[in-house]
Amino acid sequence: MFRFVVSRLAGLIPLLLVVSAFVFVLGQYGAGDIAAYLTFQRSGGRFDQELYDRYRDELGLDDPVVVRYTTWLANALRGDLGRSYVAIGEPEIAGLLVRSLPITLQLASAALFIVTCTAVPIGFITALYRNSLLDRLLVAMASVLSTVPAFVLAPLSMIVIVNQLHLLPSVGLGWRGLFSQETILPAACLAAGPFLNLVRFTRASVLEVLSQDYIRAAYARGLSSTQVIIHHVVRNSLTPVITVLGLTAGQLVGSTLFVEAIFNLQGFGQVVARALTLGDIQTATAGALVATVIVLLSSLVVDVIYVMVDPRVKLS
Amino acid sequence: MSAEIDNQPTDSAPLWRTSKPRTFWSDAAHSFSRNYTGMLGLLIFVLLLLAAIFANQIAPYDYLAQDWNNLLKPPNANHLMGTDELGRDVFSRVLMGARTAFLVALCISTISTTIGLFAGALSALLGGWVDRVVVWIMDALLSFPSIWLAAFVSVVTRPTIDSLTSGLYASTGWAMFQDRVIFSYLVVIFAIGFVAWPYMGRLVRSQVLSLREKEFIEAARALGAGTRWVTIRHLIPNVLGSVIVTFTLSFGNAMLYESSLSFLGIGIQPPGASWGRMIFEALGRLRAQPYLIIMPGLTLSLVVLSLQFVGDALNDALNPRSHSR
Repeated sequence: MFRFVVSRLAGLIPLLLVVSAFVFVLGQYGAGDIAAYLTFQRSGGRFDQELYDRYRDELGLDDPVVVRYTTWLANALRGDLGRSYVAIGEPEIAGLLVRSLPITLQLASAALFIVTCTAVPIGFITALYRNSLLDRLLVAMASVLSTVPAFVLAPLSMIVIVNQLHLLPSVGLGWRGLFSQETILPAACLAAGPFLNLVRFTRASVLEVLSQDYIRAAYARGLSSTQVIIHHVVRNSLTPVITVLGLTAGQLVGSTLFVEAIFNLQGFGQVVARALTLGDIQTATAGALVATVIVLLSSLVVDVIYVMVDPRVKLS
Repeated sequence: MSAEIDNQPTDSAPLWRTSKPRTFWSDAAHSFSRNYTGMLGLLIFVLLLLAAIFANQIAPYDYLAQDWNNLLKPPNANHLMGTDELGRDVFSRVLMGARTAFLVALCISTISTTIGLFAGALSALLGGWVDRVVVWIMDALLSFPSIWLAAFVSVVTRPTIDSLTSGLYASTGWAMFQDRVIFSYLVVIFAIGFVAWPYMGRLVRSQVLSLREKEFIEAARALGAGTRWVTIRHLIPNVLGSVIVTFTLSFGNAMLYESSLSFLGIGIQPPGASWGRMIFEALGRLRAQPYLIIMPGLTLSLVVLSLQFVGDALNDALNPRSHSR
């Protein structure tokens, strides 16, 4: 098991290298002369030679790109992601991320919890009552939930649930902790995105298991449907669902860009959203890198869980 | 003549004959027309498409005209969807936003489908190092959360595309290249197209790879068919169904991504009308003027949902075997 994890981690390294080099080069060349851009922004459209030289020096713009990239990567590995030159006070990017990441990770896990606890049972029901009116209604509802984009769903749910029905306390006052009522709505809006995929996948997986010979054999032995479902269908159909949960991580991280901004949570998504809006390329580059690491690591975690749950998968 | 005689119904077969032979496409059309959600989706999509095309004729007001006597009026008889904080008619703006959304989405899905088709097919057919490189690029692009990548690309390529368009303006003198709205269209199309093509590429590659091993291709080859014949007669028709489905879904995704970028303030720039931008600008008025968010938000959701329904119905119609699961 340990060797499996290590080899999978080692497999991620080349991909991460490619991705980070790609992001870095794009950030460096796509933006033209970053130092000039920053100088103009800082000094209100005037060109300040001193400031310009300082930016060129600090960003290492006179070095060839390979040197710049290796320096950046070496610093990043030591936890130094550089400074955000656009944000007020030129804060360290690593500090910004360390403060904001826990909020986003908690929010995303809450969303993952919500979507698992709702979509999997619903997928199960739709499969057991396939092609019935209930099946169609539930799938249609899931389609609506998942196709409405997060930045429409979040304000709409705020209007309906908070302002009209007063079911939840008012939101938008910042992060109040994982187990507070204020977290329910943002987490639910985040969970809506992957909802349909998970329902569909669970449904397909249960249908697949139901058509297997061992299910027919179980019925032939005289087991009741309840017994068959509990003993044979649940475990066999839910193992593949774990893989889909890994894929939803990317979607959840992506939606935090919108949900955190709308609910005013000072998480990772909002930090990067602001950086993108302001054209803060240093922070956006670091954010893209960190987001990729999160997505790759979550897919690794899913693989490990899968191996532990399904004895048929061989470690190779 | 003899073919007709051969086709005469014998013994217990029903005594009707279709005038045309059944083909894959007529079966698919039949199956699609029986799918109510798919037809409903198509109807909504066509209506909104027509509204976008004829936006200038339908819109009761100029979408930029400000009416300072009618600021923030809720929906009423004169302004179907109300007016915004500058007194602009929201209905006209939603219509123009539809035009933006459809135009941008059409460009993006055409570009990404073309690139994906070529990359996927070449990678599968050539194999070797071409295949490895293409798969690497696609894997690297797909390992990002795609909306982040699109946002990042649109931010970092803005200056480059800016200098490109000003260069084009300097050499041609066409006012088109100086227009900030067209410039933001270009940025958005590039950024989203860049992120979207690997989905199509991966699909086409896996389809071609699995088709190549199928017995009927082997049979065709054994009968002496060349690469061109196999490609035109067997590969393309068999891949086309999935490509059409993916194109439909990518059209909806492109719309979603365009409004997402515009919502973040890095997509379509004002004075261009975009649903995402309208929603972003109205966020502060959530409590007092919720219709400013509801109108563009529901229109956007309606289009994306209708495309989802059309895509599902097309999938059932064009890939009948995947349906049996």
